[in-house]
Amino acid sequence: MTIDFNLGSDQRQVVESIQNVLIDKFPLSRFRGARGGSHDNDALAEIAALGWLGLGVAEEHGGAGLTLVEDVLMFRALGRHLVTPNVMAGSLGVHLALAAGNTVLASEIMTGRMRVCVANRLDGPQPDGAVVHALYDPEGADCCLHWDARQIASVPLSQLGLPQPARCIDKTISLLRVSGAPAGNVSLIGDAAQKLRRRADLLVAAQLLGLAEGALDLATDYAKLRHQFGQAIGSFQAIKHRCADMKARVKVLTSLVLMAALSEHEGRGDAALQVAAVRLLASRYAIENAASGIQIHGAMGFTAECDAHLFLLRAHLLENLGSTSTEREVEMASLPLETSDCTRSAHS
Amino acid sequence: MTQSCAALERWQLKLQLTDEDEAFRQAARAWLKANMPRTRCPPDGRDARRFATDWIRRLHDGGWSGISWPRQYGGRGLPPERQMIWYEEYALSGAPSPLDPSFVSLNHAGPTLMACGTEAQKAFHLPKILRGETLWCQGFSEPGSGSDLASLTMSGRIDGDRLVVNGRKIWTSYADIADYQELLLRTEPGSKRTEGLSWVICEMRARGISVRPIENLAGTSHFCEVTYDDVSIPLDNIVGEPGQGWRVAMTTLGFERGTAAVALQLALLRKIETIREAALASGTPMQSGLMQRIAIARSEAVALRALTYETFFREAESPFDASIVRLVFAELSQRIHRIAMDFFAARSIDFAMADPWVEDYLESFSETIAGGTAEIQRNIIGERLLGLPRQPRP
Repeated sequence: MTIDFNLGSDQRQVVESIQNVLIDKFPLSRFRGARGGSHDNDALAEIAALGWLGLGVAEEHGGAGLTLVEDVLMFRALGRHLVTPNVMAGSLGVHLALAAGNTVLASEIMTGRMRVCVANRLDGPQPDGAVVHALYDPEGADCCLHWDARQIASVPLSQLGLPQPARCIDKTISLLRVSGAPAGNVSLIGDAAQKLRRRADLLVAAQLLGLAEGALDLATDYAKLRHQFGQAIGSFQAIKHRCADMKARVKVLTSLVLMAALSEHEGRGDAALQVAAVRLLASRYAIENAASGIQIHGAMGFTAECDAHLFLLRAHLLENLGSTSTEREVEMASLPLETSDCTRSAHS
Repeated sequence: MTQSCAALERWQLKLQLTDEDEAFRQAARAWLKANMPRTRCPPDGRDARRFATDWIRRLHDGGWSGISWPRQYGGRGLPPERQMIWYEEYALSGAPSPLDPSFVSLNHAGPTLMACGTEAQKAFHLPKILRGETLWCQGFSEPGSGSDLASLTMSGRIDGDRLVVNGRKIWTSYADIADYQELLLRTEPGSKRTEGLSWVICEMRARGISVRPIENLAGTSHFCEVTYDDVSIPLDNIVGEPGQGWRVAMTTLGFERGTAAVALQLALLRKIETIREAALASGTPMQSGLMQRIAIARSEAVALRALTYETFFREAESPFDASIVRLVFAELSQRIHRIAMDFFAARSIDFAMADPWVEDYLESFSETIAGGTAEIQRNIIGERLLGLPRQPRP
């Protein structure tokens, strides 16, 4: 077979071993009673020690020797457990350092000696016209990683202006706001930046897929347990069909995450189109699933006590990371036909 | 080869086409360009039959029908990768839609016979199907049994080595021009629901069959009501075990909902591409409602292609996965046709000004009804895939 969408036994083992750690160390119950602020930063050293930041890094560079595809499978699992996006920042930081030829920095990030956090540009006019970035879970980080349509860069936190604490929509994440746009000390532009940006988009999409699955499972379990009018609410079509739509979104998104990752890994001509499509749909589907999950839980879903809302908050945190939904829609309407061809050569 | 390369070989997730695959793709592309009809299949009647059988014959003579069907039945016996490449090239070439009078024979009667038929049934029917000599239609729904298919009452009485059949079937596409029918009926007197049914090959020219075409909302008449008055069918025409027809019918519906429509699913990419190019050419602003909908639908068409690959190249978690494919395809197809209508705006009231979108738009209303309504697919997804309880029955 030259095309195969089954996970191999080795891939399944990798995913299972990661899932076991997540179930043990990162249950959603860790957020109960959360008052805001970071929850996973203390575990980042352990995650680095497990080798997760170098999972998709070649062995010659000190990584596990696996590929983008396994990275995507791992981040799907991380997304489901709502693990801090800074694992992604670390993983991307390693690839940025390697692409920039800085193997020392790559090794320092991979082993956890240097910590990376996500930075995302906050759009919209600021009173003084300044560029404002938000740092996600920055405690203990040495540098931040940010990317947009043109470039990807890491900046030491020491070069940033005075950070202002901010209140994050996702209360499981702490947020600092910083002004100014300092030059990255490690940065990429051009094709190398585009390649890494597609990797970033795939990892974000994988996390959104994971949380869309988490929302589905939580809602489906509840629909089987909760009884009204003398029967499980999941027997009513109004609820059942909502769950079915959530399942369909998960199935479609899973297929596209896998195919886009495989296409990017294999260097297919239409990889850019697939990545743009998966990034656009992942945000939409994750938010729709999270919202449906809240509705299915009824009044419980509206409480802070119920986990259903955690998926919604994280989906919004990731939605506009690296690009806004409007930018993505324009990109998806603009990408030329040639790249949509699934063959290696251009379609005549 | 180094040890780590050998280890990687065992890993399965892959998407690699060989040079031979690529050569096959180029050959398919070139053949389609030179041979495909430049017109659409007429909507109904003898013209539709002639168009479909001519086209299938041409495909067969060119070596392009039954790509993955076994060689002994006239197919080419090629691996699924080649089948997928053919579907992709077919869909992107703009060749006539496979949803023509040959759709049932090629995409679910044939596959059902391969899965459940006797050697004699396969040897007789499959080569004829591939050569375009015979067309099939489907006879499942009845006037009183639509979504609740298991309530069907049409019956066949066993008389020696024959079945004597009476009753009515409805919504049978191309019954007026088909040679054979996939007929689902009750062969055990007094049986209820899914018990005692048989899946039978019915010859449409048999005495006692009358066909009444029904005009649909698009103004064409490709689906029909069929009445059976003491129609005599050989018992040998039962496919699968007598009384096990429900299982065979679910196999048929699995094809209808799952893999039958691969080329149709991939064709949505071309459809949304056509609208996108027209919108760009007419100066539709990038940040407009129409462009936003095009961008989202285009993403979903790319996603549907991925789902199609997943269905084709992955062990199914459940046979009911097909309901997701059917639901997603049907609703996306309708959204894309609706976008086209909005693009054509006022011109969309004039068939010729917005050709062929008006006709396709109107026909697309059947997508969420045929093969099980979208509501039935959601029930199946909820109950069979998610394990939600069934709605209590009165």
